[in-house]
Amino acid sequence: MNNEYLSDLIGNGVGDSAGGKYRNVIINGVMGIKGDVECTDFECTGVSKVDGSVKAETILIKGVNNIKGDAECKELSVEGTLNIGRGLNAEKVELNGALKVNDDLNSEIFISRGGFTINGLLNAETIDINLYTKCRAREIGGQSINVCKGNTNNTNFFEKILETIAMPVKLFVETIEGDDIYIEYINAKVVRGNNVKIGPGSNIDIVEYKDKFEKDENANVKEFKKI
Amino acid sequence: MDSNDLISKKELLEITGISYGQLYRWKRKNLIPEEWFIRKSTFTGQETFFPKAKILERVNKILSMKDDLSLDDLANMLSPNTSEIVLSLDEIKKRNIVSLTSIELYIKTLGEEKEFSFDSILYIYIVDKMLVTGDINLDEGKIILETLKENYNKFDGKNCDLVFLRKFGISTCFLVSSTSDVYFESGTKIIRRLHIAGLIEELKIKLVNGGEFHE
Repeated sequence: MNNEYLSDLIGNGVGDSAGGKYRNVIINGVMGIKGDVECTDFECTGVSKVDGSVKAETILIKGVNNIKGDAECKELSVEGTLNIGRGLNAEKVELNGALKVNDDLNSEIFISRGGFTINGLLNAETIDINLYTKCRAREIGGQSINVCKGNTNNTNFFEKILETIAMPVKLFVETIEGDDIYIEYINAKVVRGNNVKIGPGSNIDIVEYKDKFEKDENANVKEFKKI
Repeated sequence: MDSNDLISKKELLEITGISYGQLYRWKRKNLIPEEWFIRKSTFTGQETFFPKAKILERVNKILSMKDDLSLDDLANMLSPNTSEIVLSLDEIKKRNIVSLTSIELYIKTLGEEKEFSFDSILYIYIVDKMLVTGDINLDEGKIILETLKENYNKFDGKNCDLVFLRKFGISTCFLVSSTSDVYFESGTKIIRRLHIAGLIEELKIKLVNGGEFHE
């Protein structure tokens, strides 16, 4: 994108914008954007709502952001909350907050240290998920998939009660397909892969593997077969 | 489409020997179109199926070309959305992609253009293909060119077929989206049904390789 003549969109305070092409979009206050946005850097430390789609080189969300349409970028990092009404296409996604995507998420690298809900397919070359809260995806597919429980030793008493009653630290997914898979604390119907290793706390209906299968003694796998 | 024409993801991996990682990578790069992923419920829950002939052809094509080209180049070549290829008249002649007769027919029908867009080259290529095989004559080529020029853009990059019919010596043609079936009365002769998406791929390969293998 030739951005020589483009100006910045800076939202300090409260305001509305029609959207369009910008160099950088920086939102520190409360801002509604009524159309599509195309820019180099999209940064939101405040609260914003985009009624269209966002296309940017990098998207950084430290506040709360709602995007009604698609999001497309090279690098996305979420430290706050991001809701995407449709799909997300990125090369690298780093998640330390909360992310909700209503359609498919495509990325080369997906790193999660937070919570997510993906109502479509999570498709990435490398998937690295540390669980700290309840996460959900319809399908997960990729080359190497690694899911483990984050370190939650320093949680306090109330959080522990909350965890046992309402918010189990677990990943819920229908199918997982990949080449190298290590998963723990997962509820899944089907897991298919070449090398599959199931860690503790998992409930899985069927595992289909090609080369190798390992299972922790605290994992619950109803059926597994080599194909 | 009955279920015999479909292949499950598991079978596909078995037959072709590719891995899940590769399949998902190709999907991400749009080497395999979204509409080929058909989700159906089976006793193990949702499963993904593909149109058998198309997916096998596509996978073999990717496997045979991936050593020479990067995945992004491949994606450009295989996506039905036309890339920003523009050629001048001299370049088209020099590259020998289409016959001179077809170019002349195009210029006579739709006027001369300074630079031919990918779509224009595609129209010439389609007509050329049918002229060379002797399916149509020059006048009929004219009809096809006009139909394509007027209507092809309405498909907006989606896959479509060109159907050419003849009955009692009267010929006509129309465009129809690839996924739909059409049936005719018995007296109608379907001269040709061309998958335009396939032709786009062919043409792109020819443009990339210089198109030297055309007489």
